[in-house]
Amino acid sequence: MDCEVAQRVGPRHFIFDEWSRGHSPLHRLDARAKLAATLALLLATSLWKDSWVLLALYPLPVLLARLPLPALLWRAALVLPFSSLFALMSWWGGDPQRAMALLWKPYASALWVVLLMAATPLEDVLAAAARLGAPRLVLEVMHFIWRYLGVLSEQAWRLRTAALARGADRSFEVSASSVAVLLASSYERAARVHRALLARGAGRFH
Amino acid sequence: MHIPDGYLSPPVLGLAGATSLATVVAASRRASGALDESRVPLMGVMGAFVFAAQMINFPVAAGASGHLLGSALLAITLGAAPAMVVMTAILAIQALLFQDGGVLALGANVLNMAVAGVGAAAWAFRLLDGGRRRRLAAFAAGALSALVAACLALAELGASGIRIPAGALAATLGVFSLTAVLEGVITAAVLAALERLQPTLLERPRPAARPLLSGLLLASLLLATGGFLVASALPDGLERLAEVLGIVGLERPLMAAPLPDYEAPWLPAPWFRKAAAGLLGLAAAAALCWAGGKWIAKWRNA
Amino acid sequence: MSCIVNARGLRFAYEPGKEVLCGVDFQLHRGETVAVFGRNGSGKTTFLLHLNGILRGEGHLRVCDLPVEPPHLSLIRRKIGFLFQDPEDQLFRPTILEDVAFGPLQAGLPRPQAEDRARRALAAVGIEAGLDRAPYHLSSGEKQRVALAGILAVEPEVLILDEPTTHLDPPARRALLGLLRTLPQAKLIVTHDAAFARALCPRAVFFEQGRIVADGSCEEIIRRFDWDLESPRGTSPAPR
Repeated sequence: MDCEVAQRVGPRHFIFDEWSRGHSPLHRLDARAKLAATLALLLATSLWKDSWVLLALYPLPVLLARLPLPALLWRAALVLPFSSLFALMSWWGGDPQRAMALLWKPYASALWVVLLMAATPLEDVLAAAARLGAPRLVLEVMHFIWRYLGVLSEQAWRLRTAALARGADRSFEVSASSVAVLLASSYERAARVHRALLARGAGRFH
Repeated sequence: MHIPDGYLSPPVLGLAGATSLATVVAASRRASGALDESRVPLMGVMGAFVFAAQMINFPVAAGASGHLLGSALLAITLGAAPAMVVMTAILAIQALLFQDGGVLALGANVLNMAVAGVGAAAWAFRLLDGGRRRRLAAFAAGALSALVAACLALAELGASGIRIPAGALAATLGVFSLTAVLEGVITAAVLAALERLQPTLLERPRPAARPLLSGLLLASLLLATGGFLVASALPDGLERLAEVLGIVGLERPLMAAPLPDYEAPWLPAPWFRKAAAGLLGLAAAAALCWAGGKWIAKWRNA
Repeated sequence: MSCIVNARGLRFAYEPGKEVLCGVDFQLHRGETVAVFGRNGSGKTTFLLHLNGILRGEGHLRVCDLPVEPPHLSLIRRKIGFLFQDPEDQLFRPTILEDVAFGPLQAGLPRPQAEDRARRALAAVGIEAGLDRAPYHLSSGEKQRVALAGILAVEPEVLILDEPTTHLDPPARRALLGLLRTLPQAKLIVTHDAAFARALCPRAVFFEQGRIVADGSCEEIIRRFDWDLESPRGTSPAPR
């Protein structure tokens, strides 16, 4: 009997919420500076073949921000499974130098991104991006996604669990229905959220 | 497929980034006008929905399972412009908070999945939708969105000098095709379930169809994609073509790279030059098609 | 002006032919607490959504002596504090303090004052520490208190609560009861919880098919419409 249940977005995905609300000098630094610095570091990592030297400096800001270094290193390792595949293919194709690059460059880049998000709350990053010229609508939607991710994934998990508990087959149709129900209820939730926003004074009045 | 940072070369990243930025800015403006005031909560919740829906496994065969990607479903339920905005937001969240795809690489990932994927789906659906063909339209939209996104990604990787050995390439393309079919089937199944559940959700006011423009856009994207794939496969043929078209001289400026530290492994010299020449030519052709389409549409609407 | 809400002949249909409100007459006076009863679908929430202009129907409606129409909507929405059934739909800012400060900021207050108001409102509902936590990591009861604080922060004159006790455990229910008793605003409380209504509201109205069919003492209406869990006429089903 297959007991596989959809994985839910659990507390570990909200770890950035926790980390980013610290009170260190790095946390207090202007988000625009941090975002710009991160982008510069990412560019350097991509283009400069010896940019791994920058990683020697990594523990410094991490300590300054009083963040757990092993946890950050582990979090950034999420990129490894995918890139090892391509690294392997490059190795097999006879290009070991590139294979190495395809392995450490994504990891290094991820380290810088994880540091940024661990030292800066998402809304501040979004606000900084707005001032750097990113389209506002995209940023507002990002904020809402982050906000409702937990709620909806809980719902998805419950739908799936309930169906399985009622003895449903791990069938295609059950999954399709679950997704449809989730979609419809998401629409309704969006309508309720909109009303709640209106009730609190947001929006244009026409 | 979310491309990580450190894979794509500057020209590819630059071109992809510029194209996707321009498109997403335009889509944002369009989406702000098209939907009513509830757009932000709606788009945000739908974005979260795609995330959550991606966690629901669809059993395929013998223990394997796939999941929904979502571009097509968003395109069908929200419309093309809002769907582009939502997918972009999703990809950005994935890059920043889930380490799924690079931050610099967002330019490329957005182009592949949020722009091309959504665009292809919207176009296919609008073209095919009607009465009993709806399921087919949904399938086509889903399959096309996944296929276009995957091929573009492959093309970008190829143009950046990442060679996939022939055997692996065949396997990769096989996986892409399966993913595309799966996406199509899931999209169609979800849409069917949705129609039974709440038919009104699908009757959204659609902005005037501009098949000519979107068709041209899609054609130019397909051309560019196909072109890259061909370029990787037949470098010599392309060099001949470059000679014939007289754009051989274009190789020079590209090689005088402004970045002296740009590492050698990124430039498997002869292959890259040809690919770059082909890339430039095809990009120019695509841009011409697109600009021409816009001009024609404007002329018609005037 | 002791009459804060004055509705006469209010009608509304979501789609033509399906009338949800069929002529509602209702007056609410300053400081009154009224329970709103009725079966699901009888029009209670629809009616309440008219009071802050989220839905617009036909008939006469004035709130705090203002017509519920565009130039006055932003003011009316400050005078009416609407607590929705699911706090999940209402809390959307990243921290508790920011969420509660949202209302005052929308009303045009500068940030320091808005945050000050927010702190006071949170203190009033009993939340004093951990204001930079994310609201969606709280328990149901706490979420609801934060949502309530968010409404109190704009200093409304009327509070509308839509089924406030649905997700609450008994201690949380008692806490909410105690809290509401201390608030001076007029209150309209939609609830299926007869005990809660009895403890809080002297007056009640009963909705049926889009109209208010009874308006009077809460206790009497509960008895008349058999709204308690245990029927007083002794016809509750016997346990097997």
